Amino acid sequence: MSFNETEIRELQLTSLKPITQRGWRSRLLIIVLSIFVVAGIAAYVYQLIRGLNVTGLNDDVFFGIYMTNLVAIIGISYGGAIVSAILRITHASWRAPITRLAEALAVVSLIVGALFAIIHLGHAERLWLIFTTPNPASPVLWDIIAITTYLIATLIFFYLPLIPDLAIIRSRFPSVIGKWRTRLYSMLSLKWKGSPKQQSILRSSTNLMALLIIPLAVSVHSVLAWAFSVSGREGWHSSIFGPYFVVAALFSGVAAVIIVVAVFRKAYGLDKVIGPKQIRYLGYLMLVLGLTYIYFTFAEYLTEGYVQTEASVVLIDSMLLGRFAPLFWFFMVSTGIVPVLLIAFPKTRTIRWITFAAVLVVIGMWLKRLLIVVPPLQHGFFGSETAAYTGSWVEFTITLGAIAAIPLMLLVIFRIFPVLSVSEIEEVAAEETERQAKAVPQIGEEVKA
Amino acid sequence: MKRKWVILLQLLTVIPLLVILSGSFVVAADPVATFLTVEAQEKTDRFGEEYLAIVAKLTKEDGRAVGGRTITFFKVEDYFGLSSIKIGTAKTTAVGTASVKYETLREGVHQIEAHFTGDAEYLPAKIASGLNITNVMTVENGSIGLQPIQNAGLMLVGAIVLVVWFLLAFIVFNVFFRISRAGS
Repeated sequence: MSFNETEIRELQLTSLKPITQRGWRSRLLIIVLSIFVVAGIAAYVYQLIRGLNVTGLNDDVFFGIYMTNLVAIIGISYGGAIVSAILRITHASWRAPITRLAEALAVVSLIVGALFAIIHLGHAERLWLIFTTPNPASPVLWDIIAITTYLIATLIFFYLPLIPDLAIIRSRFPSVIGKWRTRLYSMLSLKWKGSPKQQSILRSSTNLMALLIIPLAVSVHSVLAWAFSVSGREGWHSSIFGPYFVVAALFSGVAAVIIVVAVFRKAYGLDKVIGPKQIRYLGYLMLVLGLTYIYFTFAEYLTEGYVQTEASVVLIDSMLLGRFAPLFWFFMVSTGIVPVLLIAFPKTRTIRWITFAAVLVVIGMWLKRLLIVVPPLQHGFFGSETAAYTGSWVEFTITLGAIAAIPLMLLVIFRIFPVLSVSEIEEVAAEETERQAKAVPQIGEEVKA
Repeated sequence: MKRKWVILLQLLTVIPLLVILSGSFVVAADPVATFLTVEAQEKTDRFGEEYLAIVAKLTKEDGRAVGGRTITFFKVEDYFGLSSIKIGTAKTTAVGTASVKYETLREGVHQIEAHFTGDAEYLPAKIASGLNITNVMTVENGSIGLQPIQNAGLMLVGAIVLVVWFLLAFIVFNVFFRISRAGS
């Protein structure tokens, strides 16, 4: 299937819908989200003035909701990487209409998630010491390097497919996008004319970036996992923590991509371009990753529980039957049972139900990260009880502000840039046509058995 | 005879009334003042490991111990101004002592507070004291002869990071310079 000129024009105008459609609903949403973000910033300033004692953290439980947010929100950025990079490398043609949304989600969630590395510090101004007096043996240093490198890579990966779109939209629809966007697009489109040489450079750079971003994303989450597992603490000291965290990030990331794609599709009428197929395939991906994650969880608790050291018994007991049991079982149901059932039956394999499953997965996976971070700290090395942890209003306000910042930043981004990667849709359609042409035997060509 | 009956009746009514009144006097008695002391002690756990504990003792004015009451321990630190950070809580034993494990890497004077919030029987008590902590825990990586491997590993990771940065720089250069040049 290839597009004619009118269809491409139609696609380009559709990609500008968040810029052209400015109803009262989107304005109200922006105002509400901004209020949450401002409240979060105010709570952080309060924490900065009063110190970390305004949080529920203490000497024993020194990681809490902030560290949970760091792991969970950076994990979400992974969804963008997989949808864009892995599906690009594997030539999955259905990816094209959703890549821009996925890449933007990766950038935004990474920025918000990485902020928690600073927020959870009592003395944020001491962060520069990591650069002036680095300790190469510390996982924290490598964490910062990995996250910064990954952020630069996601920004480049978001930018590359934009170049042809910006150039074409700038020249075709200057009245639609307005003056300041026309100037911005001119600057960012780098004199793009679509010549074969330019296309070749862009394609090779994007492919190289896609190849690079996968190990980068894996390294970010592995290093984050090792920051826990090299500690020797019961519940953290696990050799499977690297892959366990990577799969968790992919799982929650794909779920977040489903939510973003479904919401933007509905809000801006993108249903002609983004069909049920995209959501369904993402649903399958989420299902496979979810089952893999449940398998990892089972493997982790089986080996810990079977050995029954003094500390592991207390920890697993608190998780399965004790204080944390409601959170643990909610996680199991929301990530392991409900999504499987919803995607297994054709009747519930719809956009609405898959999106509902994705929302449950995101909530469940946030709780799972909380269960990874907090319970091991509430028990001493020999299983003794230590100080309990309950998040304070400051922590919850900052968290709500951060969660609100993700859709807010997405709304702002797509008020500046086109929401669909039209050039990629065209490219994929051309590849499909080429593949189909090769598959159909030509007259006089011998058909091999 | 009649007088005897009157006396007996008076005894039967007055004595229980006195007993009831005396009981209510006991219930309505004022809460007793309490006092707290706090000190740092080195203790040994059941596995033979030594650890530092902050021990508080809750007593009445006459020095007798108050058991079964919850003591909350704080340390005062300077995070953009002085603030109390909770160390933990513990119940007083029969001899009036409550202790929490105290882990620190810093030698010197630590400002420690212990609070008893009080109840129907006892008035609240609070103590703030500067404890001189000397025998702090130390954190060291065990040396088991893997240092050369560790060093080589760090160098390898550093080299990988450099390669990744080089590739990113190459992509940026490729896009910004070569695409612009090809378009002009």
